[in-house]
Amino acid sequence: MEDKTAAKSRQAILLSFLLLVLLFLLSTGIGKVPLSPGDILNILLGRCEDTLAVSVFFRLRLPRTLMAALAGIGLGMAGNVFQTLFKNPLASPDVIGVTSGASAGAAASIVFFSGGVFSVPFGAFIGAMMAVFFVIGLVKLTGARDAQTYVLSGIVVNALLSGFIMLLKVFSDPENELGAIEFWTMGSFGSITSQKLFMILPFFVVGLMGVFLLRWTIHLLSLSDEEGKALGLSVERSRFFALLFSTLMVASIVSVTGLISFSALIPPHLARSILKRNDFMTSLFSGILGALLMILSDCVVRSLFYAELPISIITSFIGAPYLALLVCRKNFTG
Amino acid sequence: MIVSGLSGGYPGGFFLKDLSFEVEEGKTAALLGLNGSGKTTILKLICGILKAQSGKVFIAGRDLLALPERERAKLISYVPQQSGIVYDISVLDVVLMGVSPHLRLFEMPGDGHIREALICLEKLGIGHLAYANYQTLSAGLKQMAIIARALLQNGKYMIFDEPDCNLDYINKNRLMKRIREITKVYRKGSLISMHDPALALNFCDRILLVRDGSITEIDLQKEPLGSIEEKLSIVYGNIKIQRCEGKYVVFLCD
Repeated sequence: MEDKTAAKSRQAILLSFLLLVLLFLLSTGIGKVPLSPGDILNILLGRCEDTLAVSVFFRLRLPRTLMAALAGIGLGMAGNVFQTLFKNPLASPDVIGVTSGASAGAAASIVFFSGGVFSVPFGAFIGAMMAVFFVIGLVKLTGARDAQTYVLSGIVVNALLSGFIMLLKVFSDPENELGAIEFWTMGSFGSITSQKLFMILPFFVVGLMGVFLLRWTIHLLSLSDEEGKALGLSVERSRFFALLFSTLMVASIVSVTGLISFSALIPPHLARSILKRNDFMTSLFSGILGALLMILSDCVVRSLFYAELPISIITSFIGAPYLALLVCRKNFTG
Repeated sequence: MIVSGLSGGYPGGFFLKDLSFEVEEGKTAALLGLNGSGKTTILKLICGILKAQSGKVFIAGRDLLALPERERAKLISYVPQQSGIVYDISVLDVVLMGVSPHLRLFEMPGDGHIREALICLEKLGIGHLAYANYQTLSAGLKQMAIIARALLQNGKYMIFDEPDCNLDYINKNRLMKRIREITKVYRKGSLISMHDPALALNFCDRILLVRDGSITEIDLQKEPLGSIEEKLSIVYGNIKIQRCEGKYVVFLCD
């Protein structure tokens, strides 16, 4: 007898990765200036004479598609980590305030610093990390450090931040700033440049490396705290670091893309129900599925209408029916 | 394993004071007591899941409570009533978690560990289930998988928290028989909290009776039936024990 699930998982990951590469290349061709696969090949080989096509590819499409792939990978993997840590298939980074922190930070920088190209991502990143540290601080204050205390502290911080965001909206200029805040919370890859990409890359990589190094620890945190301790794990410290690295990954992404709904919730589900397991392989697969979903959604938003749509509209229309399907099949732990 | 002067409990709630007892190598000891007598608290204090206020727990001359988690986990393993696993996972992967205290920082289990895990499953007679989905197993088989994990963890002593609580009549007896065999054959020591005195009498070498925060010991190999009856009756009321075809039958006369 041999391990069928491991072989199946490797196949699924390899297959989805090949699909991702294919979709990635196709995606770079979609938009107002269409590029055929032949054009893309020529551009990559440096044989393209058309300077407009080359510039569109390197300055717009490539950074944008790369960012969509990174966002999908990061949110998919972080979603899996959160669902594992909180032993709850509905958990996502929103639980501990990352996204509302980012929104508050972005809104503050739009209102107070007139929303510059770099001040918004900066504000969002600072906001997200501050919210997370606030939640962690609150957890420390309670003395209990179980997963539930994180959820409760997250609710407190989320509520506080939503009050703060409402306050900012009331005092914002309804002509420009209010719209900018609303638009930010719907997410978009439209403003991604290679500069922004390189700006967040170090934070993203540190988060990703942390999750990778802690993969066995995260796997053990899927047990009850008592079992984890009995297996020699310092549960509280491990949970702290696992949360820190996965939120770093999420914060670095949303700081430049804005909020993307359902993107950390659906891929982990899909990955678990296909692989029938939940460990680092599942997390990786969840990341690749997330990237597929994200690139696909981004292709849709930039080709559906003349004006570009925010990405969350599409991810919501994909995510909500999927969630409904899950509820109907009562396959919630899958 | 020598427990001496162990005190601890929950802040503002249940508290145990100055407990001392012993579990010998190769022997199985039952921890009996009514609901709320503190059986689970004692187990958690010994494993370090709950921080003890004072006292010592010695295994092989080392004080468990003074050791860091990882070192402690190499000496003692804990089998909970139910594992907290909520997602799909293969039985082999559940067992593999047992190797954790022996891994270095950031290390993953390798092929050698997988072979060891498979051997542990064989020892418990569920080798054929290695690649089955843990979530689809019956309560009895799940318990076996968790015991295999404890075996892979390879502590000198094993602690069981009411392992029989979700099991049917046959599985209860089968499980207790298996625990005793393993304890004897692999020179471990087992401490098992449970509710059924008949199971304790038939499958253990010693009974530790918890009542009002103190422990009464019963040595099943040496003590006469009358003395065992007397001690059990203090906790349970009027208990009668009879021997029938080499087994104990326990009933309550009220």
